[in-house]
Amino acid sequence: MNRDDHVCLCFRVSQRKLVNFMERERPRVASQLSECLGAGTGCQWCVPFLRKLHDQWSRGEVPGLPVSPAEYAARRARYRQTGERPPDSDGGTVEVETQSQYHSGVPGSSPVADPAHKPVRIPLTQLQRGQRAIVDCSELTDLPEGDRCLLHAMGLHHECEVQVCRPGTPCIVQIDSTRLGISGDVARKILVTPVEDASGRAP
Amino acid sequence: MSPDAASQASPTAGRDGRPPRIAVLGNPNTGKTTLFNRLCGVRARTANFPGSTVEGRVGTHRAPDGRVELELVDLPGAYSLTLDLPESRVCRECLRGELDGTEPDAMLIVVDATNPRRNLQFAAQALAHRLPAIVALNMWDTARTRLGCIDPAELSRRLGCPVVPVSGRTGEGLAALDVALDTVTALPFGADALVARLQKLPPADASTTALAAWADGVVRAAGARTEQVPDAGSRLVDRVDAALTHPFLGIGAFLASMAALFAVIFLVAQMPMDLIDLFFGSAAEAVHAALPEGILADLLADGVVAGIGGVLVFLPQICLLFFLLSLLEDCGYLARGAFAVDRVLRRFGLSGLSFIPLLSAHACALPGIMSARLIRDDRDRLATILVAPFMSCSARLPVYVLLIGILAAGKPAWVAGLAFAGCYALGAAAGLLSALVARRTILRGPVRPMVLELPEYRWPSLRNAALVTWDRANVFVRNAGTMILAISVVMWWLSAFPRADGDARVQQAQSFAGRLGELLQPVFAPLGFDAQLTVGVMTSFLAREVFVSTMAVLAGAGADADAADATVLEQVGSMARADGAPVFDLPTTAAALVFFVLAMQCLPTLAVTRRETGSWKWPAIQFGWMTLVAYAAALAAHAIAAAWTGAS
Repeated sequence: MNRDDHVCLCFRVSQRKLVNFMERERPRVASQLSECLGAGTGCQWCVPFLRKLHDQWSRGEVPGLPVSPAEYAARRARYRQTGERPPDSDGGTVEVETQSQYHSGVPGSSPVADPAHKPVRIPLTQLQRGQRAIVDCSELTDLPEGDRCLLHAMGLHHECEVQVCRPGTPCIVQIDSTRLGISGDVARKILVTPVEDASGRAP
Repeated sequence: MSPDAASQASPTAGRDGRPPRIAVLGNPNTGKTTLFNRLCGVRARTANFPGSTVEGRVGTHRAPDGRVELELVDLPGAYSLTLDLPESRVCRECLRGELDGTEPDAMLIVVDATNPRRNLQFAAQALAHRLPAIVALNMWDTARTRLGCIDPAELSRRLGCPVVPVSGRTGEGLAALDVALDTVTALPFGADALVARLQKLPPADASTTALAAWADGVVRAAGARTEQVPDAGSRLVDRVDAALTHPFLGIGAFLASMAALFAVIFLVAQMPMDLIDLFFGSAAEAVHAALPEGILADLLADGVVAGIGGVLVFLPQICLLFFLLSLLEDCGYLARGAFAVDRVLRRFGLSGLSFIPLLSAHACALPGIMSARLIRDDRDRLATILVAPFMSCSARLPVYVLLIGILAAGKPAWVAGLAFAGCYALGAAAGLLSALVARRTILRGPVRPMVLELPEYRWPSLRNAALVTWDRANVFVRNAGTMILAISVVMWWLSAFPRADGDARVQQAQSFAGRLGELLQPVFAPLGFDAQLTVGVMTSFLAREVFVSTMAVLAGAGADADAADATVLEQVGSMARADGAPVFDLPTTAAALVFFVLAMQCLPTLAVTRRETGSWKWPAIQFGWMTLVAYAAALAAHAIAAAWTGAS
């Protein structure tokens, strides 16, 4: 993940904001990162990652997470569906320990991203009505640069959350209060990671 | 942006004694133009920006107390200032003062209060320019009724510029906007103010993700809710959207709504058009009666009065078309309809919005070409303008009646019906194929990804529609009108001079236009046209409906002839060549019909194309291509009909 990618996807807190916060406020414990725009207080998926960033910063290292944004979002999606964290490379789960430590302020171990893990990404056209998803624009490489920039400027940028209003081709998605109609050829190239299960769809 | 750029303080008011200039900019569908119309009313005019086909509007705004007078420039809606698109380029150049050499004195950035996150990303790009700014939080009437509405005071603190909640539709907040505009143009804006503002903004090279994160933070800090919560009506809206953009249902709904639109235009516009026609007919007669017989009377009556009448007769259709289109656009339907037909037109290199000009061109190419302004993409718009005159307009009808009447004489009625339908189909097919050719040759370039913003459904504003109509009518009368009038006078001169003694027939044959016809007869000989028919075709390059009256004059039926008149049909149909053979044998009639379906024989259309494209290059290409296609197709029709006649 790079500095502009969101670590806390619930409150869209980027790594850059977290690092700036640490430089400015010098938090003694990782739980103080929650004061940075509420990071880690939503679904709590990012808590181990916040811990890791704080650990790195405390040791004087450059904070960074060795996981791609798409994979990160996909793992979070699964976490939100099942309530369980995917096992890390040590074979165990880091959730309970690090989450409780985050809130109690006790330093603990950091999660390690699983490089072999493949993110669950499907074309936008395969979502159902009311389903929400995180957009991955990295596969839009065969669109000209100008068109990609136009899509981004219209609100369809990498990592944004969309909700499907009309599934299939052409499809209609909503981003905030903007509705975008997207033709099938473009929509098929946009890969997304669903973030809600059936119960999370529009009523 | 480097703060060094701000070392020179911005002026506090307009320079050179002119009123301060305010650039009005924002994302599309933010109600920017509604706000502009509210501020300027009828004191606005459409302006094509130099070196671009993108249009904007310039208007003056005076506060109710009359103290402040401002010049407002309504820039085209753009999603970003950094894109390589005409609308983004125009906004950038305007803010830098490169558009017409005059830098604006301030910016009015219109932000949709119901969708602040995306709008603020654009605002951040605009605020990086060295100009004092005001953010108008538009659609405030809708936004404040929603939970988690943004706090203008906090937003102002976060952006480093005044934020005024307004509603372009209801007029709410305009008094506060006046005060803010007054203040912002009166106070100095120096390097310190810019540096203070830049510190609150994301870096100039921020990625789209970073820009979105910044906007997200600002919106959250200003108290607005950012998560998506479906509102109560969204299920209904989803269903309506699904139907209106459905591949079949959506196209059906669009065709039906357009059929209704044009039925209304035909029904309602007919009476004022007849009245205008009648008025100018009487005016021409009055001129003839008032002045002694001679060149001056002819010039005034047949050149000037007829020319003005010829321009104004289109006005009811143009006004109605733009009024109704504005209502459809305002209520949010037009974007959905265009989205539905886009997949069909995209195959021919056109966009969904091209459908409206092409359909409109079936009534008359003039409003069709003017309505191409709806199309955002430059290449799509030019391709649409180039091929719109291929559609069979109502002026072709008298010619179709005459030629099909001759062609289908003595045959069952369905033959004539089929021929009529064939003419319309031939025109549409030639138009679509020409668009494809144009997009692969002279207008080659990437097709924009079909991603269209579908604005919220709203009640359309009659005031807005009336202002749009007023503006379009003004553009038509002032620009196209003057050119069409000049052309009419020139064409009158070509057909009235040199003066010949004798009846109208002799005058027609002896005139410059007639002589030109004789001169060019060898060119049309392969199509089977004799000298008389060539004269008819040549005079109809002014306006194709002239063909019927010219042929009637040549056949000796009189200048007031009407193709629906059976006598005229018989007389023209029985015209003979010099060797005694009929002029209108089957191959020649078929060739003439195909030629009239496809040829560019309308000077007003060329004048409007010149006006809309800002260059004579496009009308020249349009004329050359259509004439070439018409000639080749007529030649093929002549050969096929000759072979068929020989075989049978």
